Amino acid sequence: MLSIKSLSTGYGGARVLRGLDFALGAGECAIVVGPNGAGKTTLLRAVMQLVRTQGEIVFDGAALRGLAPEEIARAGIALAPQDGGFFPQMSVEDNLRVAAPRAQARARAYAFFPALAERRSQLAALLSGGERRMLVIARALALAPRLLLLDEASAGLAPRLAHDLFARIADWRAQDGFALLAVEQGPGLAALAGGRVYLMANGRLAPLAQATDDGALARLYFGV
Amino acid sequence: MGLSAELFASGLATGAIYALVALALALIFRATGHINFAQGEMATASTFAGWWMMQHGAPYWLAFGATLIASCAAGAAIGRLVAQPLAQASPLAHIATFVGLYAVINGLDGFLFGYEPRAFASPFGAGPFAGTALSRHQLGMIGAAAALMVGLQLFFRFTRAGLLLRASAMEPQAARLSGVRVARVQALGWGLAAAIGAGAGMLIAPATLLDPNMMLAPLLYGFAGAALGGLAQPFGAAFGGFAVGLLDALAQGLLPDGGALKAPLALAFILAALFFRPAGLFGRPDAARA
Ligand SMILES: Nc1ncnc2c1ncn2[C@@H]1O[C@H](COP(=O)(O)OP(=O)(O)OP(=O)(O)O)[C@@H](O)[C@H]1O
Ligand SMILES: [Mg+2]
Repeated sequence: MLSIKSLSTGYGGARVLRGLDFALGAGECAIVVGPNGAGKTTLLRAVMQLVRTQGEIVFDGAALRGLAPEEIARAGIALAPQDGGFFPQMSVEDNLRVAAPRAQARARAYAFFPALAERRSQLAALLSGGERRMLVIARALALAPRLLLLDEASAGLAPRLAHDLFARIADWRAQDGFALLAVEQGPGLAALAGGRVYLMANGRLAPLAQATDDGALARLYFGV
Repeated sequence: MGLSAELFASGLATGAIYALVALALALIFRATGHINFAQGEMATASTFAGWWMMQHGAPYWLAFGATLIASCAAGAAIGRLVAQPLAQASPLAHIATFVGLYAVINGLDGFLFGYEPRAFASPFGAGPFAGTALSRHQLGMIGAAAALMVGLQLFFRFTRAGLLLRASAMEPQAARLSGVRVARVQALGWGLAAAIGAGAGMLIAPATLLDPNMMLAPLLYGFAGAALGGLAQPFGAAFGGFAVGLLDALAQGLLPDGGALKAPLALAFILAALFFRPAGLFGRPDAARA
């Protein structure tokens, strides 16, 4: 479904991704961990073509390079970015209406985050940090994507909710079968999603056999 | 001249002119975040196009409709070709571009049509409206401005196109990530604003006479009105336009040499109002978490 070959990109002269290869099948799940500044966010932005890239990105047989982000979104990829990704001067309901004209799709997003349903008519700028994370994820889910990209979805969420988030996304995936590529800081949480785990280092992804007890991960990521 | 019904009526009619301009400005601002200083000149060019069609034998409403449609297309094209590339540019570049656009259109109008003022027909007919201090044309203008003010407010509030226009101006990237074709949506905003400007120009020209500089004062006061009422809300912007027209008439009626002082007085009042409410009377100050 998503196939990336020798993907390179950066900002100005600085290379961030250097010949990265990655593949994800339909309905599969992958988690990317790595230190701050490793290029995790840049990878998701590259898939949405929010940065200029070299190399090959193919989604369901179609090359994404050079497409506008809105066309990629319409092709079935939804990104819940680490920053922004919502409309501060609009109500929660209007935020979701932009992504989902149909009330049914919005109802599903509300069912996923009942806290948002209670704040339906509140201005998004006035939500708490965690509520904003929910809104950004809900907006992405409301698009009913075939591939969901989550950038640190659990950051700022209460531990219990962060824990539930991945369990419930796993439930939703079981029904809808969308694929998931998630960037996380903590491999422990990510393991809940039940996918393969990759470490981002030196501008590439290296698979980790197991999320929790891998020596390489511990050395590279936690420095122990 | 003392305070009188005539004065109030003429203030309201002038206010309608400003309100129409303010509505076009507010529409582009709401849809793209730009303030289009060339809005008035685009309206003048449209009005010349309508005048040209009527000179060549087109009946009024045919020329009116064709002008709105052509202006909508031209506005969308200008938005796409001139404003779109500015998306990432600095505010200074925006100002320079729109002032440049202003100069180009103004010069072209003068080159093509000359500077001699021309009479322009009113769709509402001539003469006073039965038993009022208003002419039929003035009343028509007030009605059109009020209807447009309500219509645009409803458009932004209740239609999907209005929602997407707001979203694209507010957070273009979030809109793109939601699958919104931002370039098209913003071109639509420009097209609608140009059509409203064209309609405004054709309603203003019978009152002021048509010449390349006819929109200079309406743009200035319309902008002041939009700032007074709040640029982000069509309702507020149009209300501000009416208020400026009335203040203007009030100053004229109350001051000994009202004619000379009315503009500074009206603008001073607006500055004072904005000092206390920077987002405009109806503008929500950008909601921020305290
Ligand atoms: N817009 C930008 N312009 C210049 N450099 C950038 C830009 N965005 C990111 N970078 C740099 O690119 C590198 C990778 O950034 P990226 O945001 O992808 O890291 P990350 O792995 O997501 O980090 P974090 O865990 O802190 O979110 C960093 O060194 C960062 O400073
Ligand atoms: Mg990041």
